Amino acid sequence: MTLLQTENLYKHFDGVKVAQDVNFSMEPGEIRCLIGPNGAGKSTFFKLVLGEHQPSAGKIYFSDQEITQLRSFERVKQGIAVKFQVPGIFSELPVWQNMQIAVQNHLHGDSMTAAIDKALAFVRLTDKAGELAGELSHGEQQWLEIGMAVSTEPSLLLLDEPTAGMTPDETARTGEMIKALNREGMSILAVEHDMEFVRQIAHKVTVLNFGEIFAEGTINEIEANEEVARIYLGTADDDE
Amino acid sequence: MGSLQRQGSNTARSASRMPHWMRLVNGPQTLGHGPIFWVGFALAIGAAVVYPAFADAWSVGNTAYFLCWVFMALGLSLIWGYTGALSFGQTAFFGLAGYTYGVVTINFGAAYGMTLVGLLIGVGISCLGAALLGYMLFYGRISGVFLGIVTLSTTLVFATFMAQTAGSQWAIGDARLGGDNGMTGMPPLTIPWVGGDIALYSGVPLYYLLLAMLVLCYLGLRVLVNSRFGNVLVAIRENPHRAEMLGYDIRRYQLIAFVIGSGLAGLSGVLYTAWGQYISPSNMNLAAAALPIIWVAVGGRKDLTATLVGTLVVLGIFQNLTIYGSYYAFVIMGLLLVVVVVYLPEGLIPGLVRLVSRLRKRKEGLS
Amino acid sequence: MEYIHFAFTAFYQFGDAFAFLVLSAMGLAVIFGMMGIINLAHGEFIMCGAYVTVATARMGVPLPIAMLCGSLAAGMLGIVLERTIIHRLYHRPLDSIVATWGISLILTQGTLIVLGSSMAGISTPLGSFSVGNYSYSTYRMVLLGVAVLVLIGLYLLFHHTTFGIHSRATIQAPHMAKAVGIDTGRMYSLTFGLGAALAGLAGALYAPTISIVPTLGANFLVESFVTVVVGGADVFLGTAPAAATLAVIKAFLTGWQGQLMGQVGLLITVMVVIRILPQGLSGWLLKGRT
Repeated sequence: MTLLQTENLYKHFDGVKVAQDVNFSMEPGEIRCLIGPNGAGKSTFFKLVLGEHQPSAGKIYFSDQEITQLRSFERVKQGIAVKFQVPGIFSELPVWQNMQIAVQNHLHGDSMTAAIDKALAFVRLTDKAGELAGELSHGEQQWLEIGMAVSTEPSLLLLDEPTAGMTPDETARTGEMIKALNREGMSILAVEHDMEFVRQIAHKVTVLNFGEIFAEGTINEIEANEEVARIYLGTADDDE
Repeated sequence: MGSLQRQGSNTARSASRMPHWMRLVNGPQTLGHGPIFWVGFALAIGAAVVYPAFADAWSVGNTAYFLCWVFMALGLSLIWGYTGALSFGQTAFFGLAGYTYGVVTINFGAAYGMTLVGLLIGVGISCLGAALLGYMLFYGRISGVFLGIVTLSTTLVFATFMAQTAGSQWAIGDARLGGDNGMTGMPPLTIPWVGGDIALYSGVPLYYLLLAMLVLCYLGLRVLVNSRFGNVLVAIRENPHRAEMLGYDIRRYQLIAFVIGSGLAGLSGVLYTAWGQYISPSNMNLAAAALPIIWVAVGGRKDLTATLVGTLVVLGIFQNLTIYGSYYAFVIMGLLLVVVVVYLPEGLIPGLVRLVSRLRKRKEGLS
Repeated sequence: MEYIHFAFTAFYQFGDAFAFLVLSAMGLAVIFGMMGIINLAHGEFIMCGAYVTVATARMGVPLPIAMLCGSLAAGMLGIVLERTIIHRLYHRPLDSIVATWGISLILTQGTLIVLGSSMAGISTPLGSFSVGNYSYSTYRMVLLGVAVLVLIGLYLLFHHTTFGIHSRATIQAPHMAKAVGIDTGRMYSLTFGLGAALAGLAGALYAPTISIVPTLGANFLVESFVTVVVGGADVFLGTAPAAATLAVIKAFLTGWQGQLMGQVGLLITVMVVIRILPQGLSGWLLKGRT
């Protein structure tokens, strides 16, 4: 069984090709990192998987079921969860309620309370349960969102730059969280720029460039690949 | 301690020790909880119950008139305050239900509880209208500004339509729509009773009926917004994208909230029409449509209690101002709205609560 | 000959509807496109333009100049309101809409208090012309010409003047614009004033054709809202094509079933259009360019 698979996936925006014949697949239990220069199509790929964009052509399978036509919330119910790059939390609500909104969709009563407490403990926010989510530090907001995503009990967790803006200490802690989740059986697909962090967590790395899968392999293979180094150097100046 | 502070998580968790019914009406989505608040609530109801004994008939009838409007305000608080959907068209549903009540009761009379049937049909039709419009809007992914102007446009067109129904060809059965002059001659709410129907003309019995309905509606909405459903509504208000990515079909939640809120606007419309035996397009036009927005914004749209209190207070002020002419009243209402939006966007009551709790914190910090 | 009559009548009705939609929506669209604010006091700027035009014209000022006065007065009112109220709400666009509704109430009801429930109007100038056996209002055709001129003028203003370049920079990247020394606050102020002046112009131009009452702005609201919703945020790629499309529907339905059905038709069109094109026409025409 493959967990996530895309088949000849294409996406065009008025002639601009942001995904081109992407044949991606990952196995259950994997931690995969998605890297590539800016504009390589990483976030488009996420949006295609999440159903925020419809592909121009191609199919997407999740746990061997086709999900191409499903709406975003239906995909979430199938077991895909996401943590956005900019923390997507409910800032005006207390931390506890943020977590409750994530959990109440599938759990009720005491088991819901237990799941919330467990998730809060996991992301180390038990002491801050009563604070408004918007008043947490940047790192804590990222963790809260990871906690919310995780507590929907997904089999695949998508992380869009989970360590962006974090201190080295926070980054290390986030890496531990990801590994702990993986040990419990959750598969993780992360977009990440920090190669040090990628080395820390990834089983396998996929490189995207101009909407195409450019290379795939272990971190060592990728780092040894001169072509990959070239696309990074070649396009690094173009964007931003 | 603080009876009006928004409930944080600690209370939310200790809520599991509360009796079940208490947990339903108390929750993170409503200001006001704990013994002091509920004692105050009971006192307020008590005062409202004995009020007719101390007031003249006109005042009681007038208070009943105020109560008619509050349902629409609570409905708007649900749609705008809790769900974050800008609906400027609540008076369309108010009018739709009012006219429907008129058509039903003028044609079928008041006997055999027909007015109550008229009430149900009126509210039902406004729910149906809201479901149709809401489906187009929310399932068309319309949000923010556009939602506001499409709902307002719909209301204005509906008001224009009703205004040109003056001719005698514009009648449904015996009910003349009446154009700009509106529809008249419908009976008041009439309760079938052994030994003769009781017609609730503006007076004490009507006042009690409305009071009871309002208390039920208020408590019912508290249950709703503090339920899992209410949790999702505020989640959608705060961050619709995140809510969807937690597995919620946000369009469905928005639509349901819109239908309930518009049904309440319809209820207000029926009650108002039955109270004054009159409904006209001027109950729906641009100025009329602004009023619910003002009540809800001034009190505090994100909270039911604030909306309830704010609406009654603003209605009182408005009526006292109309003594000097309704134009003056509207100007002051406009000013009030601008000032509140600029300086106290959360509304007066949450603003006040925040101020009090800040002062108390400072005091505690000093001692 | 009958075909020519029919064709001309159709053109006349389309032109009339197009002019009305463009002129009533332009001010709203400029403000919305620039600041994302739907100005619910739009109708009151129109009212202001109409009142000032009628008042000055009745004092003996030539009509075109009176209309210019009306437009300028509305523009000035817009700048004053922007400086006193609107500019406090730029970071809260939804609140700013509610605030403009408050302003609308104050202006309408205030006018009722100060100037009473109606004012003597002025007659429609220029008489009529006939094609075959039918006669048509010359002034309506002039309005069509003015609508087209206003569109061209705005195009030149936004694309060929410093003001236009600065304002477009401010729309696209406010922080960047600020960084290169554009006074964005002033740009917003001027744009709001421009939008108000355009609304005032609509009031001024239609003043001879309507009864002068404080609530006259409401007669323009539905059409202007609908045009802006269908058009989206771009004045040239949105408002103008939207007005053209809607004018066909409105002219057809109005000719067939009367003014009200025209409005109902517009409303239904809006709901259908936003269903298929959530970003409006301009979003659709601009798709992928951003």
